[in-house]
Amino acid sequence: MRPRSLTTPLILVMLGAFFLWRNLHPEAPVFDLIANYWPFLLIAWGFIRLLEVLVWRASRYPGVTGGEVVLVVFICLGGMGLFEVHRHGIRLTPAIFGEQFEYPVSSQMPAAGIKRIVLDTPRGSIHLTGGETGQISVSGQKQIRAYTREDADRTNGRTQLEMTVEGDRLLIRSHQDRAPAEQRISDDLELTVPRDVAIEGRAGNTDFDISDVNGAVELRSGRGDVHLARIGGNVRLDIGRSAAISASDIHGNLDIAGQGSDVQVDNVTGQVTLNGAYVGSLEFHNLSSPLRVQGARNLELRAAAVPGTISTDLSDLTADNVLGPIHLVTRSRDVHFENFTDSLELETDHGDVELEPGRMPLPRIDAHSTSGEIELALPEHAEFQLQATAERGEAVNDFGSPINTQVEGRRAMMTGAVGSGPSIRITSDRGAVAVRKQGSAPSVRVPQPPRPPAPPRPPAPVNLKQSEVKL
Amino acid sequence: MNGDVSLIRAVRGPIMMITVGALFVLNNFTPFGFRETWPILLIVFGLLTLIGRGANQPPGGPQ
Repeated sequence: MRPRSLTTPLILVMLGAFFLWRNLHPEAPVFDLIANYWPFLLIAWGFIRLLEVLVWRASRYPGVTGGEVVLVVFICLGGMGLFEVHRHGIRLTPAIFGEQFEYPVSSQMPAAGIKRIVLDTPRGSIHLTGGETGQISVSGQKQIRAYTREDADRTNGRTQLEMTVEGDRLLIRSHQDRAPAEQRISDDLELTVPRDVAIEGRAGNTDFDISDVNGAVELRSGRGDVHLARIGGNVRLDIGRSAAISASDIHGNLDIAGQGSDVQVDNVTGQVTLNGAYVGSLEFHNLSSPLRVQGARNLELRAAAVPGTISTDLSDLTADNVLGPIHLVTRSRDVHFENFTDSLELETDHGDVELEPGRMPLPRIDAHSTSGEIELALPEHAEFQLQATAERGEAVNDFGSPINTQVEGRRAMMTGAVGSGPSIRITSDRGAVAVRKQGSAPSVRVPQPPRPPAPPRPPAPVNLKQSEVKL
Repeated sequence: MNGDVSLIRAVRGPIMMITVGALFVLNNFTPFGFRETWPILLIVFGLLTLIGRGANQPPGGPQ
């Protein structure tokens, strides 16, 4: 008899256990857990079927059936939907169960001798402003989601905001960890502090809005948005996942690490470092010191300073008024660089490149694109030494006779010197290269010559049998 | 020989299922989304098919 698979009864057991857990603990974030961990069901299922195939090998076990494939597709679609809903911050569990109760939060103390404030609020939001004050004051609201008012009152009593002085450090704790597991608690706090303190934040799921502080700011959070303005010291952000991070008027270094979507950085005096996977738009404006971006999503960018702007998303990178040396490696973006100095090293896999150095003397340029056009627009009286190669594409020259154009098969090359300027080397493996005068459309096009017709093939050798007569 | 072929055919489904699960684990817990990693499915499927064809081949090669 052919063996029957164990997966159907196992799935029934798991479904039963899941609904039992859900009924006994309706407040537990069951759907949120499923949204993240559902792929492990497929892995476990696959391993069970693999074991069955190997154990029942003698019985010619049939493997995965068509019905199972359909079920796997439905599980994937449902799991992806749940994950996307969860990822966009829509809570699937708690909004349905219990009721939300709100409590005011208020506390203050003299700030004498305090140089550092440590905020420990796992969930909620923190709005902190520095000012000319001798007091540290906290106000805001606490939200507790519970089944009854009595439960919420008890939790509120256990989670009173605590301000503890340790040397020159003030520790502000919301004690959310004291709330029972079936309740959800968050604190939305507004703080006013003296301008010269340093701020340290430790959080799980908290948004930060911090402004007008002269000390250093260091925030570590699992998830949340961060907005910083007018910070005098160094800033270090380590945010697991964020939808938006913005920092403006920072007088120290800015160091951002994590994953997320949008990042906007304006007016920073110190060095800016961005390290992580950010899939939204990145904007840098008016940075006086070096910028260093190391993105897990195929972006590596270094520049000496950005008096102008650099903005990029997953498909485009635009930069205007950037001080070199500039180093850019990207995989799949169209790149447009204007007004840059010193030198540019650029490497892209897919995407067109437009370069307009704008200023004299020209910077040294070394640009390579695996697949895409490279267009270089230079000032009319620019001096440079050019080596441009289109391995499979046409070459466009706007500077006339000093530049020599050669076409060999599908390869087009331009070499030559106009005056005695810096070296400019542009190479495209699949795509055209063009050197034109700024403000004008390409005027001289050197098309590829028509391919010569293929030489006639020699006649195929005829095998003569011994009986045939050789002439 | 036929036993090897049927075994490889039988394990193909479970291995694909494990691969799909692993890619969604990457999608949910790392920066590598499914929209970037899906070609791994083609690679795994292709390799399993190649192994299956290799097992099907008579010792002297194709005639």
